[in-house]
Amino acid sequence: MSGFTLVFGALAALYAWGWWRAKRRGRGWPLWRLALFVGSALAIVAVMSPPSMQWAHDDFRGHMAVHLVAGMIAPLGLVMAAPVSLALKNVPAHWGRRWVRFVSLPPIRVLGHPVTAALLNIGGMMALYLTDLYSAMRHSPGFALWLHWHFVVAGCLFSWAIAGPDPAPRRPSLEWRFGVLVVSMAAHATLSKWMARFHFPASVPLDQVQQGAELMFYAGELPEALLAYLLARQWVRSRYREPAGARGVTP
Amino acid sequence: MILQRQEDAVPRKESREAMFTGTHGRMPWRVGKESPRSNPGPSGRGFFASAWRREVKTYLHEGIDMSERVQRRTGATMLAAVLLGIGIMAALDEIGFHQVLAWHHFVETDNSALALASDGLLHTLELVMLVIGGALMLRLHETGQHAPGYRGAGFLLGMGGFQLFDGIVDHKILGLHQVRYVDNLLVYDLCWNLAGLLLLAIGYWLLRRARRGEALSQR
Repeated sequence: MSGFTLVFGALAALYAWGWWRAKRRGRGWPLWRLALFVGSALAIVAVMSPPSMQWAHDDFRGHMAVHLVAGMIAPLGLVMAAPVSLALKNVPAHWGRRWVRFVSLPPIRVLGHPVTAALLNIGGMMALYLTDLYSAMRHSPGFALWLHWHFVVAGCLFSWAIAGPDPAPRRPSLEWRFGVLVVSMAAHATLSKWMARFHFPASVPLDQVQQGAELMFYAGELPEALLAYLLARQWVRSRYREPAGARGVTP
Repeated sequence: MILQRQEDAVPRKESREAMFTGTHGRMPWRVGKESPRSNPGPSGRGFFASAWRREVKTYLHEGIDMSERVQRRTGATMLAAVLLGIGIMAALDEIGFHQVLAWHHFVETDNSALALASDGLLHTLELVMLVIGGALMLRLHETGQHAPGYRGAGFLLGMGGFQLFDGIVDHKILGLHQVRYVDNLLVYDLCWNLAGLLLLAIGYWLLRRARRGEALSQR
C-alpha cells in the first residue's frame, strides 16, 4: 500500500465523517461536494496505483495522463469541495480564528500567492521536461515519488490560490488572479507546443512526445477553462447583482 | 399588405397597460388584431393565478412600470456576445479545420519558438474569452439585464472579426499555418476572408437595427 492510498483514503474518510457529522447536527453540507471530494481522492489513488505507475514509467503518454489527473483535475475537485469550510463547521468557533491567523502569517501568504503557486506549478514542469530531469526521474524511484507529491500539492495550491472557496483573508485582487491564470495557461500551451516541435524531453521517442504533448494541450485546457469559469463567476456575481425586488415580479 | 414598422406598433418603453393588455412581445403585424384584453393572465382560483392578479392590480394601482424595474445593460451584453462570438469561431476553427479535416497540424516543421509561443498565447486568450463571455452572458440573463438585439449583433461581429484576424494575422503575418497546403492557395484565402467580411456585414446590419430599437427579438 502506497503513501498516496493511505493519505487520500484517510482524507476522503475524514471528509465523509465531517459531512455526516454536519448533517446530523442540522447544518447541511451539499452532497455534490462530498461526491466531488471522494471522487477526486479516489482518482488520485487510482492513477498512483502500481499498474498505472508502470504504464506512466514505460510510456510518455501514460506519464502525461497521470500528470493530468493527479496534477490538474483531481486537485481542482479537492479544492472546490471546500474541505476547510467543512472542517470549520465541525469544530469550536475559536478554531476559525486560529485558521485565519494561520493563513495570515507572512510565509503562508507568500506561499499561497497566485504568482508563487504558478511558479511552482509551471516552473516545475518546465524544469522537468525542458532539461534532463525527466530521464533522471525515470532512473530514480525516490525522486519520482517526490515529484508526484509535488504535482499533487502544487496543483492543489494553484487551484486554491486562484479560485479557492475556503475562507482566506486579504486575498490578492481578482485582476491579479485572472492575470496569473492567463499567463500560466499560455505557458502551459506554449510548453506543449515547444515539446512537440523541438523534441523535449529528448530521451523519449518523438512520436510519444508528440502524442503526449497534444494530450497535454487539449486535455489540459479543460480543467484550466473550468478554473477560469469559476473565477469569472465570482467576478460577474459581484459586478451584476440581482435587482432588488425583481424576483417573482415578472408575470 | 404593408407591414407596420415595429417602432410604430410597439413603443420602446411600453406603457404599463401595454404590459397587461397583450401588445407586449407580440409580432408587430398582430398588434391591434386582438381585443384589448386578449391577455387577461391566468384565470381560475388557484394560488398562482390569484397571486398573479393581485400583483398586477398592485402595480396598476401604484403606477409602477415593470419594464423599467430592471436596468438593461447594452454595453455588457455587447461585450459578452462579442467574446462568445470570438471564442466559438476559434473553437470551430480548432475543431473543424485542425481536428476533423486535418488541413493543418498541431505544429509545422518550420515554426519558430516565438511563433509557437504567440500561438499558445492566442489560443489561451480565445479560450478565456469564450469562458468570460459565457459567464457574463449567463449572469446577465439570470438577472434579466441583457439588452435585446445586441446579442446576435455582437456574436456575428465577434465571429467575423476573429475570422478576418485569423486569416490575416495568423496565416499571413505570423505564418503559423496556411488554410490548406495546395497550389491554388489564393482561392482558399479569399474564401476565408470573404466569409469573415460577410459575417461582419450581417453583424453590423443587426447592430444598426438594435440601435434603432428594431431588433428582430425584443425579449
